[in-house]
Amino acid sequence: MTDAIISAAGLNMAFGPVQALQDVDLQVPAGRIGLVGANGAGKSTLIKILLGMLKPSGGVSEVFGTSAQHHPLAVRSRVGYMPEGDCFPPDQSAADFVSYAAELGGLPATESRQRASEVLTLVGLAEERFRNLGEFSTGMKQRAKLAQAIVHSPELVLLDEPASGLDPDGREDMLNLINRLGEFGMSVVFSSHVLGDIERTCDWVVMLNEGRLLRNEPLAAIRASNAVQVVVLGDPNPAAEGLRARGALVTASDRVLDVELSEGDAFVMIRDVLAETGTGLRSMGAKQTTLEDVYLAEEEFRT
Amino acid sequence: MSSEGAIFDLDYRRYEGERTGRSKIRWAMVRDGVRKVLGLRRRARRKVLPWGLIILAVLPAVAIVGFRVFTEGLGADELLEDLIPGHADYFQLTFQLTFLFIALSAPELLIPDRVSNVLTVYASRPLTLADYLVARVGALMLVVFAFTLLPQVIIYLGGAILSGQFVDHVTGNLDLLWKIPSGSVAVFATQAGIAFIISAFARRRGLAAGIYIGFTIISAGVAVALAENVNRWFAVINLQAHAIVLIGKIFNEPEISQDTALVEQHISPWVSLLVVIAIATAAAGLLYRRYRRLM
Repeated sequence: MTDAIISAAGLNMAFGPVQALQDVDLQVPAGRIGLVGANGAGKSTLIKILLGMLKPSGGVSEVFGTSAQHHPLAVRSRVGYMPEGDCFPPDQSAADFVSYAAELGGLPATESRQRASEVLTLVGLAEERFRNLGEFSTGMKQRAKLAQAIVHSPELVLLDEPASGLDPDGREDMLNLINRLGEFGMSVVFSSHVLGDIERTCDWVVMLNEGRLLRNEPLAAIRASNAVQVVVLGDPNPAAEGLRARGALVTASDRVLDVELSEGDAFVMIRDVLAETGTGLRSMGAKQTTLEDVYLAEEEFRT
Repeated sequence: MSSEGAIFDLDYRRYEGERTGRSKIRWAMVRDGVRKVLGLRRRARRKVLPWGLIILAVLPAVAIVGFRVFTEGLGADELLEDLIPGHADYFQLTFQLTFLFIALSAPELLIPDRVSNVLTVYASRPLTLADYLVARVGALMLVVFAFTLLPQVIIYLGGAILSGQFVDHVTGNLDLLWKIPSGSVAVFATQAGIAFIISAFARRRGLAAGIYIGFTIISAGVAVALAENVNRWFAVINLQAHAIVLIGKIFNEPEISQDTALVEQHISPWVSLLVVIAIATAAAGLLYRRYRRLM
C-alpha cells in the first residue's frame, strides 16, 4: 500500500510474561480507522507504540513514514491523542487547559487561546469552558479530552475508547463528533471494543485479539458476503438437504438457512429448491455480515 | 445598522500558521508552572499560602527602608547600621519562609500532573521527559528567585535612593549584583532537590510538604546530636545549614553561620558547596529515573 499513514512490521510488545502484541504487520490508509478488540487485545499498547510512548520489544512502526521509535517528536507534532482514562488537572478551567494543550502542540500563545475557544465550542462545551475540569461529568470530560486532542490541528487523531463510560445520548454525540473529524481532513484511529460503534463510524478496520492481528482491511470488504439468508415457514430440513444436494454450502439454525454457492445464482437455486420441496418462504436476501460475526468466527477459528 | 441577524457556523478551522519550536513549548510549561505555584487562574484559596509567604518575605524589606526614611537625619547612622539587617542577614531572616515556600510549591508542580494523569498529555506532545522536568524545576527556580530577590532589590534600591548619591551607591556596591543572585542559587539548590524527590513519589501535596518539612527538621537535630557525640562529619546531614554557610561565604560575612553545626565542627564552606552540588546532581538523576518509568 503506497499511501499508508500507519505501518508496522513484526511488531512485538511484552510486559514481563504478558505478550501484548505478537508479530503485528499493518498497512493502514488515511481515513477513519477502527481499532477493534476485546479488553486486553493490545489496542492501547499499539496506540502508545505509534505515539512513541512505548518502545516495542521487536519490530518497527511508522506514522506518516516517520519512525515512531526513532523520531517520536516528529510523529507527535502531527498526531493528537485522546487517552482512555482521565488526563486533567481538576483545578484548571477547560479553556485554560485546552489552550495550554495547544501551546504544547506547538501553537503560539495568542492563537492557542482563540483555538481553544473554537474547539471547545465545536465539541459542545462553549458554555462550560470556564468551569474547572474537576467539576465536569464523564461526558463533558470525554468531550474536553477530544478537544485537547484536536486543538493543535493534527493530521491524525488517536482516540482510545472515546465512548467508554458514556450514556446512550453521550455515545451518540461522541460518534457524531468522530464522524465529523473526517470531514475536517483529519484521519482518525478509533479504538473500541464495541463493534457497533466501529461499524457506524469507520471505513477501515484493524482487528486484534490477544495481541495478534486478525483483520486489517476495509469495512466494506469485511461486511461483503456471498451468502444468502433464507427464512422459511415450517421444517427447513428438506430445503437444506435439497440445496446441499446441488452443491450449496448450507448452515441451518431454527428456520434460518445461510446459503453459499461458489458458482451460479444462489437466488435461482433457492427458488427452485423451495418449489420442489414445497417449503414456504418468509424472507430472502443477501446476508449482512457484522463485525461481531467476523470477530466471533475468527476467535472460533483460532481456538 | 441592519436589523437582520446572521448566523455563521465557523466549524473547524485548520491551523495553517507556523509552529513554535521546543524552546517555546518549554517556556509555555514554565509559565504554566509559575501559575500553578502562585495559584494564578485558580480559586482564591489557592493563592492564600504562596502570596501570604511572599508578603511576609517582602514586608520586612519595606519596613527596613521605611525605618531608614524615618530615622534619616537623626545622626544615628552608625548605630542603625548595626541594627538594620544587611543583605546576608536578610537571606537568613527569610530563610525559613523560603524553605516553607519550596516545601509547598514543589509538590504543587509535580503531584497533580502525576496523580491526575496529565503526564499522558505531555507524553503525547512533541517534547521530551527532560523538557518537562527542566520546565518544572525552572518554574520553581524562577519563582524562588523572585521570592528571594524582590526584598533584596527593595533594600538595595532603597539604600541607593536614601544615600542621596544613587549612582555612587550603585557603583560602590556592584558586587551585590552577583552576590544576591548567588545567594538565591544557594538557597534553591540546597532545598529544592529533596523537595522534588519527595514530590516525585508522594501522592498528596500536603503529605509531601509535611514529609519534607519533617525530614529537614529531624535531619538537622540528628546532625547536631551525632556530630557532637559520634563524629563531627555527621554535621553535613544538616542540609539547611549548608545554604547559610554558603551565603556567609558569598557575602563574606561568616558570622551569620556561627551558630550552625557545620561551623561549630570546623567543616569548611567548600564541603558545603560540594554537598549542595552532590544533592542537586543526585536529585536530578533520581527525578529523571523516576519519571522515565512514568512518561
